[in-house]
Order: sequence, then C-alpha cells, then structure tokens
Amino acid sequence: MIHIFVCKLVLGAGLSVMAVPAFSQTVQQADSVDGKEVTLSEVTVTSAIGAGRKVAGKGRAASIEEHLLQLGNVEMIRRGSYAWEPVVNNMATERVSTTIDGMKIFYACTDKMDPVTSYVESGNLQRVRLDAGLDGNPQATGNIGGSIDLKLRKAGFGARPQEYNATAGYESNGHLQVYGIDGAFSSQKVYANMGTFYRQAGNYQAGGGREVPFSQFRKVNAFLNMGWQPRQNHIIEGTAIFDRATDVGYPALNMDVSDATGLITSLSYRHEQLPGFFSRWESKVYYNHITHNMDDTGRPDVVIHMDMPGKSSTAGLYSILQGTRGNHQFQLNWDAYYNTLFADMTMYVKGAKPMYMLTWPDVGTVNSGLALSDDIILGARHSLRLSAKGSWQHRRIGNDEGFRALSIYFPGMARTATDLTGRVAVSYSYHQGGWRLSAGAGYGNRTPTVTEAYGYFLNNTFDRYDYIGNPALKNESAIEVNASASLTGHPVEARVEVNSFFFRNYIIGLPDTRLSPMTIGAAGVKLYRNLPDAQIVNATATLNWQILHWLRWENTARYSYGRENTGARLPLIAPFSYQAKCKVLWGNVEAEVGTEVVARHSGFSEKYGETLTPGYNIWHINAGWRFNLGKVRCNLHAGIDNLFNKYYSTYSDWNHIPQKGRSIYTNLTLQL
Amino acid sequence: MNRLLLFLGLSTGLLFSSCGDDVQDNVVINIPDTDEECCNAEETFLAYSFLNNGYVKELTELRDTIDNKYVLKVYSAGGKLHVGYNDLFFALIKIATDGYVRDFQVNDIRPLMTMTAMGMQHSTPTETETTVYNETFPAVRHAWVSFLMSSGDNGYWELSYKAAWQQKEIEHTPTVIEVNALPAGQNWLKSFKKDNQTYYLTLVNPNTFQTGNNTIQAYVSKQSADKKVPYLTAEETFTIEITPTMPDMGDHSSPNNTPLIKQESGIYEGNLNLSMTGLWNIHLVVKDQEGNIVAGGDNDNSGYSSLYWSVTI
Repeated sequence: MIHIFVCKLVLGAGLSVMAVPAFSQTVQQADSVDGKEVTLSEVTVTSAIGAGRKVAGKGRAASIEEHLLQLGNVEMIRRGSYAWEPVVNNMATERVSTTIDGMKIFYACTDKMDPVTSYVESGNLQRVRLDAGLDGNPQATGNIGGSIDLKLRKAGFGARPQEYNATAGYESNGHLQVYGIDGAFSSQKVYANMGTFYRQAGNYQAGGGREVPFSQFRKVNAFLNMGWQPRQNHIIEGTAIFDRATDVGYPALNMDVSDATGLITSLSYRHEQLPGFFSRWESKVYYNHITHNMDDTGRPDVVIHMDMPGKSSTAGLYSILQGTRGNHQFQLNWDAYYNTLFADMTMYVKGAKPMYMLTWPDVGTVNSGLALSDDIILGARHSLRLSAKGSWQHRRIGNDEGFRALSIYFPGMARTATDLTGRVAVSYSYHQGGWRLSAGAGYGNRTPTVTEAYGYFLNNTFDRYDYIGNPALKNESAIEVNASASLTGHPVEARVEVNSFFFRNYIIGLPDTRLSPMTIGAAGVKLYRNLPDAQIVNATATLNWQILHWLRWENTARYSYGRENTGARLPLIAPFSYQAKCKVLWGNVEAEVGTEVVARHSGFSEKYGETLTPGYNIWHINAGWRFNLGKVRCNLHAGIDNLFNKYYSTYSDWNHIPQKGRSIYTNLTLQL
Repeated sequence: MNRLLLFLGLSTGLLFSSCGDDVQDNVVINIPDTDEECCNAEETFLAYSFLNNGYVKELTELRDTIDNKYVLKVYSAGGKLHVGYNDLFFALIKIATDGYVRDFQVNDIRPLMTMTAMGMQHSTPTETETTVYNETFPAVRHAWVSFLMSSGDNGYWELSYKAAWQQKEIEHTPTVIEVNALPAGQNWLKSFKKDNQTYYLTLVNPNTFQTGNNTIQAYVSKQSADKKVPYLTAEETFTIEITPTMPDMGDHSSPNNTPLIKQESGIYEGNLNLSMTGLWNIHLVVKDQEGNIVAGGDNDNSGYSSLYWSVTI
C-alpha cells in the first residue's frame, strides 16, 4: 500500500513536470482564495481599521490563542489562562501540525501544558496560516485535522528605513498587563527587526466574581530577525526567539509550571527570481529547544511532591522550490528533522527513597518527507489543486530504564519503530459570477505521537485516568471529503462549508482494568488503542451583510459531530454555536458589538469521561480610534468581554474551569 | 619456583570480562605453575578478581587455618552481615604460594543466636553445605544464611563451620558475628505456620532489582525440631504467588508477574515487574501442590496479602 503510494507520488511529480503549457499566469493560492488565512496584521490595531477585515479589539496585546480563535475552524482547550491548546476541525495536537515559519517544534510537557503556540508572542508574528484538513502546508506531517503555520514578522528589504512600535495593554480582570516594544531597520541590502514583550496576569475572576486560584502567569519574549542580501535576489535570513514563561498557574490541573523556556533559531538562504523552471528556492536549517518544569510546591494538600521536567529539542531543515509555468503553480519541498523528547518524574515521600520513572523515555525521532503541490487553472471557471506528501520516520527509545519499564506492559516490544506515512489531497473549484463551488477529497495517515506510543503513566485530570502509550499501535488513517459553496457579492456574502473525516484505526485511550493506576485517586489506567473506525463532521455557515457602507453584520453558525465505531460520541467535539457581530467603521473609528450563543453540549462523550456543559450566551463590545500625535501614529482600543459577567465554561475548558467574568480592557499602540 | 606474572591490564580485562572490571591495573599475582593442589592461572585470575572486586569483603572473625599451611577466608557483601539473605563465600589459600586451593569442602555451617534475656538459643534458615559458586573458578565456594534478627542488646549471633581438605579437617569454633538490621524499606524474610510447623520465606538478595522485569528468587526453609539446628530448605513444594505494590502510591501494582516455582536446585524462581523505583511491597500467597492456600490468604488494608517482603530500589 505504502509502496504504491510512493510510486504515485513520484508519478505525480513527473506529470506536473511534463505538463508545462507555454503561457504564463499566476495562480492565487487556493487556500488564500478560500480565506483560510487570517493575517495577524489584520487583527492588530494598526490595520484593523479597514473594511471587511477580522477585528480583534485587543490587537497585538491579544495572545496568540486569541488570534487563533479568529480562524474559522479553531477552538481552544483551556487548562488555565495561559498556553491554550489549539483544536482544528475538532482535532487537537495529535492530529494537527504546528510549525513556525515551516520549522517543526514539539511541546515538552507530558500533560500538554505547553502547546508550541505558547512559545511565541503575538508581536513575533506577521500572520497565522491555517490549512484545514489533509491539504497541509508543505512542512506539515501528521496533519489530519489541519496545519497551523505561524509566520514570523520580518521587516524585509526596502521597507521604511526605521520603524518603532510600542504597545501597552491592560485588562481589568486578572490585572493582565502587556507591554511590548520593537524596532525595525531596513535597506535594500540589510534588514533587522527586534523586540521584546512582557505579559503578566494575576488570578482572574469568573462570572459572578469568584476568583479562580492558580490562574496567574508571567511571560517574557524577545526576538531578532535579520536579513542580508549580498547580491540581488540572494537572501540570507536568520531568526532567534527566546521565550520564557514563569509562575504559570493551571487551575484545571493539580500542578503549575515554574518555568517553560523556548529557544527558537533558524538560518535560511533564499534565491528569488530564478531563471528556468523554478522561480524561487528557499532552504532553511533550524534548531529549537524547550525545557518545561512543572511545579506543585504552591499547591495546598499535595500528598506527594513531584518534580516533572520535560525537554524537547528539534533540529531540522527544509528546502522548497516554487515555480509557475503555464497554468500551473507548483512547489516541491523536502524536509527532515530530528527530535528528542525526554520527561521524567521524581516523587518524594517523607522518610523513603524517592520514586522515579521516565514518562517519555528519551525518544528520538528522525523524520524526512517530500511534499508536492500543484495548483492548476483548468479554464476560466475551473481550477484544481493537487497535493501529496510522503514521509519516512524512524523512532528509538533512548533510555534503557524507560524501555525496561514499558516492556513490563508490552513484553518483547521493539525498541525502534520505522514507518512510512503520507497524504494526498485533491480539490476542485468552479466559480461563476460571485459563486464559487468547491469540493475536495484526501487520504492521509499519521504515526502515533510519542505520548500515544511510549507515554508512561501520564495522568489525565480530565477523565482521571493514567495513560500508558502503546508501542503496538497501528498508524491512524483518515479519508477527508469536503465541499463548500460561497457567494461573494454586495451587500451579502454567504458561505456554507462541510467537511467529514472518516478514520480507520482511530487512536484513543481505552480503560484496561488489568492495570493498576499510579496516581493516587486515579480512576484506572487507559491504554492507547486503535478503534476500527470513527467519524468527525464539521459544518459552518457564514452570512455577512454590509447593511450600510459603515455598518456590517456578520453571522457564523457551526455544528460538529463525532462518533466512534460503537456509536459512542468522541470527546472534545464542539457543540452547536452561533456568533453574531455588528461592526461599525467610520473614518478613524471602529466599533463592534457581538454575541456568542453556544448550545448545551448534549452530544458530550460519556464514554470518554465528559460531563454535560450547559449552554450559554455572552456579549462583547469594543471600540478603536486611530489618531496621530505629531509623527506618531496611535491606535487606542477599549472594550468589554463577557459584558454581563456571565458564569460559564466551554465544552473544552478542562474540568469545566470557568471562563473569565466581565473584563474591561484597553490598549494603546504607538508607531513611529 | 617459577613466577608467572599476570598483568591485569585492559587486554586481560577484556578477555575475562565476566568480573574483574574493578581490579586495579598491574596487580601482580603469584601463581605456582606446578602446584597440583591449586587452580590454574585463569581460575586464579577469576577467583582473585571476584574476591577483590570491591563488592565482597572478608569477614575476618571467621578466618581459620589448616595445619598453618592453608588459610580459609570467608567473605560477604561488603564484609558485613544483615537480617535476611546473605551470601557467604569461602576460599582456601595456600600460605606458601598465595595460590587458591580447589576441591576443599566447607560444611556444617551453624549460625546460632543466644537471647541473653530469655536464656534461649535458636538458629536461622541456612544452607549448611557449600557448593562451587561458579564453575569457571572452582576455588570459591558458596552458601547462604538468612538471619532472623539483628545482633543487639537482646542477644548475639555466633557462627561455626567445618572445613575439610584432603584428609585434614578442622572445626571453626563458634565466633561472635555482627548482624545488622536492614535499612528501612527492606524486609526480605517472612514466616508462616502450617500445621504448627514454622516455615521461613527468604527473598534472595534483591539488590540487583531495577525498574522493569526482574527474576525473583527465594528459599522456603523449615524450622528445625531442635531450634538450635540450622533450618534447612523444606522438602515440600509450594507455589508462591506475588503481587508487588507501592504503598506510597495508593498501592499501585504492576502486571505480568509470575509465581515463584521451585526449581531443581531447590530455589524458587519467578518474574517480578517493578514499574518504577521506590518502595515496593511484594505480597505473597503461598499454595501447596494441591493449590490450597497455606499462607497469605488474609488481606490487609492494601487489599493484598498481609504476608509480604519489602524492597526499595
């Protein structure tokens, strides 16, 4: 099967190489046409004051997660007020690829307290790109649900010679403070931009005024981007980001984080305007390292104090060729990375020797993949997009003790695992007048994550089970079909989109009553298993109405459904939701009032430990004003979230920790 | 007399890497090349390496001589003895040549506790006859003693043995030995009663246990009618089912453990899985050949047998 797949891949490459008609025409990326991309600059205050764009009143003062939530298919799993876990098409980290400018990066906490999006800051980013489903960005692997690429904010060549920004934000609830300064310098030969950010919050209050203990955090971030163009179109770029969060509380868990530190570096070479078949070539080498330390010393009633550090380091490279020929726009990408994950746990009992175990047994993963995509204009009204990626992966457990411990549960297990995975996707669209109809299909599979294959007694506070990885898991695969219809017109825009994922060997934890839990008070032990099949369906309908040239009304309704082979519901599938916003844009002033209505989560998954989340309705309001003070451009925003101070939690709030109550915020950005 | 010099450098260390890793470089051992009584060069090297690797040390109070020509040395782990299972190693050395003698015998090992306050004496589970410890170096003989209790204010331990070589036989008269208590979190000796007969369950040295799968070994000894006589291993055959739990972790247990089954040599052997380091209680259910529970049938607070060894790894 895999062999055939690889052959197809090569064939596909051959075809796209041969099919080169003589005329030249640029093809807009399908995903940007689909509106999958939301640029962070669009949600920052600076450019927010422009028609038809998504607005987040908090601008650059907003967290990455708040920006991500502006994307259509994204939800967040929240364990506290920091480091939320993105969920795309109702699939979380295991089925979503997250890259930073194409760089692979893996979280270092066995309890998923540090999704990789937590190691960057809004001010680091230009935009966030989301490719929903199997048609991922070229560097993505294992992306069944989708792939997120965080695009870094680089000054670029030939921009304003000097530019300085300063941001300050305050949020009343939890006394959240955000400060940031950055500067950019640019010429035709050289550019550099750098900045530093600080974010701090105390405990927030839920609706009704109850304080949520252990919801504080503190974060510093600094970044540097540099570019050098020694010769026209030969570009060398380097990036470094340092990010450190300390004293981070996780009210939904029974421990906090003393520090989570990430160092992200890259060096790339880019050749633009190439003559010949490919017009652009970019190669990048990168390295990132994350250390993560959990901390339970601040918690009362700790039965056994534990140290739980985790480490993740990734070195990798990719090389991408892009070209346009005739009605084809194609790219070819090769990437490779080596990642190691190590986590252990030491438990201290009074008067006895500490107990020690490895929770991630120093797992080394080598992965290399080849990705191709081709956007083809078939005619005036038809276009087609093909994409495919094949990857080879080799994994090895580096630690003897960890290997021996896992062997207790899987006698005779192999210490290494080698897999071939891949994905193919095709989408077709037809457009006429303001109408656009699209349909797509894809097939792909993924290897189990390190947690799913080799995790060792990882306690999940959500269902209160200890989880053990299963080295005998089969790869999970999925077939995706999607369709959308949209009407772009004036004054009404409408869009309906449906996607379905049909899984084989869906990976999920199932109780094994044979095994005894390690965590005191745990309900039992779950082993990751393959379910024969499972299914996830997502549907979104959007209706936007430009009532007056300054007044716009936006509506979005979303429905999702997920079940497994026995008919039981899958966990963490969003309930029906409806969002409405009224936006005003008048000269230098913008304002928004909006509501979110979320239905009772009646389709909760009892089998997988979920309990009912009641429905809720919340309102928000914000306003922004752009003005100049001499040469300084100022953007001032203010707003209120959860206007009526409602007490609520979403279906994906870990252990139903309540969301923030009413919060009044304001922020100011100065640009010189 | 010729002298054969053995330089225990890296090369020899590699050749005989079974032990001797801790031997200092360039140690000179004298080996008589025509001495029929003594071991050959390789056996001598291995015996020397084993007895000088730093793990075993001599119990000097148990040293004895034969005819003033041979010295008998007794070794234990660290040169110390403690409650529960102890390995004893014996070597006979020819004083004139420092050569290790083969084919000697040590038997009738008798540990004896005198309980001063109560005016009572008793022995303890013991292997009274030595056997060759390792066929590759027959100069070292082995036996074991599992002490019931430590020396202390209530009483003292003595140990005697007999040794024979060729036609000569000596008797080492009882010498006081120091038996220490095991550290907290270690309990390697348990007893049970069946038909008014007391049996002892001795866990064989668990110091090599580690996270993962371990071979677990034990002896079942029977209290002698005359308590002053060492308790020998029971002739009956039992099956000892084991369940390891961590008392500090809510009695977390591990799967895939296999019962201790009696082997031909008389030792009981099974498989023990320890999922992490720390204190483990190994709960025991002893069954006779018909499968009837003879001990460990009653559960304590943990929900497992109240009869258990404790090990801390």
